[in-house]
Amino acid sequence: MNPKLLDNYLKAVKTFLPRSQQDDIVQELSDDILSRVEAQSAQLGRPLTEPEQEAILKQVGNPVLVAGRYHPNHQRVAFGVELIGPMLFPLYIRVLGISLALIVVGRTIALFLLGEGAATGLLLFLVAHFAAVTAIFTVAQFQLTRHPDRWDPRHPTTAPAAPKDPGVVSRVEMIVELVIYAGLLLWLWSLRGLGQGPLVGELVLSPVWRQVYGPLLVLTAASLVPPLVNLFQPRWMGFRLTTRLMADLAWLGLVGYVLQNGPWVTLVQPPAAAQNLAGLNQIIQYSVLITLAASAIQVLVDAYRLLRHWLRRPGVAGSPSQIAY
Amino acid sequence: MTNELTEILENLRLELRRGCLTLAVLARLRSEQYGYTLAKSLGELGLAIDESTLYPLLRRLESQGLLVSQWRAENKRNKRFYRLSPAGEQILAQLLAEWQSLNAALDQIVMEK
Repeated sequence: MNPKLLDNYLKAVKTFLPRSQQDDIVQELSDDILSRVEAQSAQLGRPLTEPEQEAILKQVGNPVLVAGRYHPNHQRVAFGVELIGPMLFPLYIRVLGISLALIVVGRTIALFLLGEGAATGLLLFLVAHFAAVTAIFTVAQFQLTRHPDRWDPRHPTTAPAAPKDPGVVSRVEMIVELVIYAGLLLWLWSLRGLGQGPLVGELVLSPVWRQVYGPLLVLTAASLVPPLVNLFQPRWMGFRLTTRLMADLAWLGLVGYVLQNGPWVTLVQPPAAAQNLAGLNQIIQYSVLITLAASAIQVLVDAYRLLRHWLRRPGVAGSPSQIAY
Repeated sequence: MTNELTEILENLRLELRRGCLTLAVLARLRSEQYGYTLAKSLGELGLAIDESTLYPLLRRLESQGLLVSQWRAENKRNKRFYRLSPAGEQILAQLLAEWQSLNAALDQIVMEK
């Protein structure tokens, strides 16, 4: 059997197995698959082709479902209807636990450095994060329940291998975007008190940050609209690409404005450590410059995607449908 | 048969099979086997079981103390061999008696007009 094909499959199963038994179960599963391959090969009187090997893996089953049967506790998340089943529950708990721990550690460090202001909105942020992770896993469970056989033995760790229609926006992508922008908005809102006093010690943020805060908040809130629309209108690809390009340009403008209006931190009192302040401002300048470069690249990529989308539309001169054979 | 009835039938069939499969697995493991040959032999005897169902069942029975297992090399590969434990033999004897009793009772119920 193709060792890479088998290895990828076993790795995918291993991800969802109970930790204490992973190696043991994987070894047993490996032997079972190889036994099936040998038996079929002996029956046919020749080695199996790669599609035949893939068919055997398909028979063994979706890695998530195969691994889920080894979990002794059938825990799940349900509010009337089941949102997250026993197959995905262990991974859900792991992801939730690690991410919440990271948030709490991050906020604790911020609290230590920046004072009480950094704790503002922590509970709301934690609740929003919990809702976001639960939503993502609920979508994954929905896909798994509806299409348990929709997976590719060549890429068993990727999302369901549905044929991708370039004219249709992925609903899963839109939900993930909504969750990310909602989280970002909550985080920005929690920073609304920042800059009104010293940042740390004698350092204060320059006025430019207060100037861009409002527009940044509005831009982030506005970024929620396109994925929400596309969730109900997945075929509005032109709308998605256009709004995305507009958001990229707005973001580029904001970053450019910040870059042009340094310094970005100043001291409350005239500098005793002016050299350190200059160094810090230089670091911030480079960071903003890199952000500007990345934003510019993003604008170019999205502009290209939008152009390609318009050229592909039927009736547009030069589109494939216009070419006579 | 309507789709709804078909679904009900399928669920009831699964429930019926679930208990029988555990008994069949315990009975077959009076002699030592590994997973693949066990699944194959059960299939040949008319009780087909998917390996992805069988292996978790074997682990559960082992965790309950009814089976013991051992890794051994065979044909250049490590295989996990299972067989009944002493506790498993006791349980199997009792389950078989229970099965025969249920079978007899069910025969009477089904034959009654």
